[in-house]
Amino acid sequence: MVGQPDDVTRLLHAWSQGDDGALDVLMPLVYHELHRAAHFHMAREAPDNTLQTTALVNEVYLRLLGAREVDWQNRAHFHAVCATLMRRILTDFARARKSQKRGGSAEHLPLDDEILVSHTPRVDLLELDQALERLTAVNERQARVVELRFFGGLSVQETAEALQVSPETIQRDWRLAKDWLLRELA
Amino acid sequence: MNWPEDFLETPAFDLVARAVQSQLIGTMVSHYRIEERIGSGGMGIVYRARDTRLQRDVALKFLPEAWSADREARAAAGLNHPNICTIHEIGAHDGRPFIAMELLEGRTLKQELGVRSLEMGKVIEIASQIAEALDAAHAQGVIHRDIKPGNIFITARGVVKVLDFGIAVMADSPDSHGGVAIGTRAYMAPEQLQGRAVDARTDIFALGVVIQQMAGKAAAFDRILERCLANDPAARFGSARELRAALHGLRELTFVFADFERRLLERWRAASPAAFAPITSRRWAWWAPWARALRTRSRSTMPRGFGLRALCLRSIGSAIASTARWRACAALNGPNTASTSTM
Repeated sequence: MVGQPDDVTRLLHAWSQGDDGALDVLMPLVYHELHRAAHFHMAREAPDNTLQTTALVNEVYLRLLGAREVDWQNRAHFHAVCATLMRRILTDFARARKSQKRGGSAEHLPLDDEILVSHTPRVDLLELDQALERLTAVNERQARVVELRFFGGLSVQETAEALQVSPETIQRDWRLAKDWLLRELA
Repeated sequence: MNWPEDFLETPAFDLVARAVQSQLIGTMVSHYRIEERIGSGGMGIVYRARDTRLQRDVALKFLPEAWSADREARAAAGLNHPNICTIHEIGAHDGRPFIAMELLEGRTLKQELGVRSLEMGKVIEIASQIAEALDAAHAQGVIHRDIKPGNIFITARGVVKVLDFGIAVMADSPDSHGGVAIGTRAYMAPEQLQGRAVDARTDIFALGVVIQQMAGKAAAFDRILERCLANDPAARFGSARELRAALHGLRELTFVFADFERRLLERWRAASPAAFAPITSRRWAWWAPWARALRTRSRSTMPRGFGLRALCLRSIGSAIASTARWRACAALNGPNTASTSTM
């Protein structure tokens, strides 16, 4: 799968030009790599203060595109694709864990073992995913900001580049979306 | 609004990773009971675990799935040296390779360097111990390949222990995650970066980078660093033992200098007591900051003597000093050059 950096670049370009079909081709390619890398990274501590997400996405990026010069626009788009896929991978993972637990193993699992998005109130990843789905219907861009920031691990600046709006807009969306989601989840 | 502050602030992946990592606590891995997470090495998380057979605490580290113990890793497990962290066992649990090793108390050199720069004497001491570890491993045909501050442990008693011998081997295998995840570019010798054959001198290069990091701008190490960091392996020290001898020579040299300068200072103090007496008169006030600087330097700076040399030797006995230094350097470099040329 790897070794076709030109294809990935071309698909990213096509997608940014508004070709949704390109995204359909791109997704499985990135998903495969991301899934593989995520498996490895979960068992690995983040070096110092680096976020694991950033390290992971960069690793996949390098694997798919090599160390070639690709303009930042493409990288931003790549991060955007990854954010969507990360959301899918992580919610699948959380679901699998939950059903594993319900499987009734005698093993005692502490409460903190749940993948919690917030401790007060206790909100887990799956509930958040569903709430985010509802937010998409209300305000799509706000939901997208949450996806990029929370699932994609992007900074405000990077999110602004991916969505091509100002960082101030992202800040506002982010705050409003968090408020909306918490009300929904409380 | 009074919403929880942590909400969505940690990216989802990091939350999941944390949950997965904490899941292991309390579980059995082979005959080890995982007790607590104690940190991370280059490639995996390290746990404190209880060896339920031998009733002792060990450090347990999981390695990437792609890793498998080859000849060199097994040889590394057989290394027995005071400056090498002992490997008790290489095993696998649910397909995940792990190594059980000596549980150490102290901190890594990386943590140590994060706090403050090191004194020259300490740099020499640490580097010498690493060189000893490398010498012992190289003698068994084990190349470390990933010498860096994060892999060097300094125990509470000040003993240096090199971690992870024989583990970075997989960095060469095509199935590993390339240079992205494993191996640390900043410490890699040119031949390693280019994927060419590595040998003992590859580790010497990495140790050179570590020494440079510890020593900062101390010029005393220039000559040694030159012979560690040469692009051409043939221009480096031929063995860790040679490097250790050079470090030893440098240590001797610092003693000679410290002594020389102490005597010089004493003589100077006798000749012009005013410079060292507390500054009381207005007439000498202009001299106060200099004198103070001089005195603090002579007490505390780490290149003991080397700092002072710049200040006082230059002004007073520069001719004598440079001759003495030249002779000492010639004595230091002489035997090394000779031993290289005979090889």
